[in-house]
Amino acid sequence: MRKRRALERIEEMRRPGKALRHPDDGYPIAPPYPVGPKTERAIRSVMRVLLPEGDAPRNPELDERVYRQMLVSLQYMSKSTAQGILSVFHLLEWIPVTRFGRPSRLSKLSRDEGSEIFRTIESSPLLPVRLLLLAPKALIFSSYFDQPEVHEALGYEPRKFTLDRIALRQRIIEHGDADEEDEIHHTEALR
Amino acid sequence: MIIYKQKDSAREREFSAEVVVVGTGAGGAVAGALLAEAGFDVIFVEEGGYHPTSSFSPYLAESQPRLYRDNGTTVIMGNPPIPFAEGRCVGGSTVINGGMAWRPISEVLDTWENELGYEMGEKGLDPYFTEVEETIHAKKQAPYSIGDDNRIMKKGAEKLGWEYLDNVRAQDRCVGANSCIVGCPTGAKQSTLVSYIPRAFEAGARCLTELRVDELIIEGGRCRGVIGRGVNPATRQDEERVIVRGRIVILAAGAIQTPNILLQYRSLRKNKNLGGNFLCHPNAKVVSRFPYDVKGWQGVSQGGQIREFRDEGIVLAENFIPPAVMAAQIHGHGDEVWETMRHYNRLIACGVLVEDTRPGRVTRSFGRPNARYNITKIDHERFLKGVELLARLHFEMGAEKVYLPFSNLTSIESPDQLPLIKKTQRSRSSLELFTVHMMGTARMGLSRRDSVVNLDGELWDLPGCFVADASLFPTAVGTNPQVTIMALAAKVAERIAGKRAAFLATA
Repeated sequence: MRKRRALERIEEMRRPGKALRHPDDGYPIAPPYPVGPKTERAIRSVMRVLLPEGDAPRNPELDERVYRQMLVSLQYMSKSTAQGILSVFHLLEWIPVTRFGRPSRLSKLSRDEGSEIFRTIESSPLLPVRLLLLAPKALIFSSYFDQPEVHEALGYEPRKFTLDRIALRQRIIEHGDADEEDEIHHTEALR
Repeated sequence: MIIYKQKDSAREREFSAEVVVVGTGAGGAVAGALLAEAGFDVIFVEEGGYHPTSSFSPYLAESQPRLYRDNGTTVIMGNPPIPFAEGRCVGGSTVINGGMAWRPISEVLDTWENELGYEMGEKGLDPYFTEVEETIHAKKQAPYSIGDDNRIMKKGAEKLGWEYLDNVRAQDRCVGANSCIVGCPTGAKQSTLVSYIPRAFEAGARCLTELRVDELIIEGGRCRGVIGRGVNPATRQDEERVIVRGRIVILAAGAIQTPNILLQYRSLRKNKNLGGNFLCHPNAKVVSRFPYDVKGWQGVSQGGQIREFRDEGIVLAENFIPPAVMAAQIHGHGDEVWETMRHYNRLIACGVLVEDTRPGRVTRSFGRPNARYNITKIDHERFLKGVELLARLHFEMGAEKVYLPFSNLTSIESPDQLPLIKKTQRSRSSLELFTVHMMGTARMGLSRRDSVVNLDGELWDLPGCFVADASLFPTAVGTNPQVTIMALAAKVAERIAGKRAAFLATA
């Protein structure tokens, strides 16, 4: 009985799936990290400056998904790291007043004014100053650049490609080697 | 039951086995599987969750919380600080690594043999390497798995007359899905999830998941088990205390977490080697933009390495990354980053891997590990040279822009600007680094004066407690460490199995 269960588990561990964004493997994903209104304002004001505009995909529903995904990500960090990152958002919200002599905090400034301050931070010769943007940028971009609209705008179709390759491997396992047309080529010069 | 989730272990609260293995990555899975096959009753304790191949997808934002420690936000403090990544799931870092399967270079194994004897040399370790390489199907890639970014690296190296080696990888019919860092969705990469863990289960092993080990049970001067806390995956809150008793405990939680568990005991802290000798093969990313589509996300990540500069401690490799990681590494913000990222299909990403010249240290504060590491002047010079070499190669292949890992020189647009690298890079703090190769913090040795564990992997100062992960390395290995971790874990398992009667008699 135990042996049979083990073999079933082993089969399950190795079997490819459908490359779903939200797989149903019985592992519940935590709810967003709880934050108060001031923290939410600080995060959203940093998002407003960091995220691209122009022809980059942006809409309120997308921004909401990015915001929510960031808070979920915080749940999987150590408590001290998550709290540290949230403190940095607060610091960035107030830094225009405390360090740049502006009359208002970040959320009250225009996006261009905020961007100018961030550019100063990014190009600071002092490492601790530059590090202020490291975690917020990683957190916001890792969420934004993983959204379907953004993938589409970049011409990045990972699921389709993954499913094709799963099918190819299955074919190789069942029928032997791959064909020449299974090779990956995009540029003739590199053939 | 074979795999226990947090809610399952919460019901039982107490487990016992002959061997308790903490961690299911390259070290723990190998040691546990071989001991289970040798007839031991083995139980794994894994902090992360169980995610089968069918659950893997190319989406980073959803995969990272499930598979990475602290969602990938772990950092080694120093000048410069170095973010690092390690797995937190059944299969550990083998689920999220590139699957490289290189043995250490001969010079490293010669040094080990000279310092520690024949058994740690090329010939002494050969049987363990062979066993591991057969199990994980260590071999080169088939042509249908190679993408254009690898071709650029290879052709560029050929043009410049540099030695390029096709990588040996842990893979069985890899088709180049390029999802290594979020779990291989095809099942081709031979992580321990699909290689050693199944062997262990077949031999009767069990696995407690979502259970973080906080303490060791020490009785009568011997290690007799571990105490952990369940971590509720739905709330991320610590839950019940779970006791796992065993006659032998094998720590395989990685070169940062393993010393962190041990450093809480004063009797073990007396050995100043514990947590010392921290090595991490730091690496720097170089991203280049080409005037045509490369689609680096199609085809295997790291099809080969440039080893031409190996004697100078520099290895160059292609290593493509999803947009969610790439964007965070591009200098700037807002529209500036978008301007680069909109050409994502024309970008290729590569890394300069530098061999350590001075170790750092892992300490423990408030129950958490604190890793410290500073690169040296020599390391810094190696990075500058490595970045320049990669940029030169890419320009040679027609790149129109190269993005550099320096905060004060973020990109260059022609080979004429290469001298700017040396001219502008005076400070180590402007370098942006990353690592996934942490090693050496509970090194093997011949005496407690210069090591933490003996050549069997057992702690000098705590009988019954073994180490089987990258902490064991006496020195840096100069290449990707997975196979060396596995081989040393196999050696530890063989030593334990050879003394089975003696260990069981200590009950």
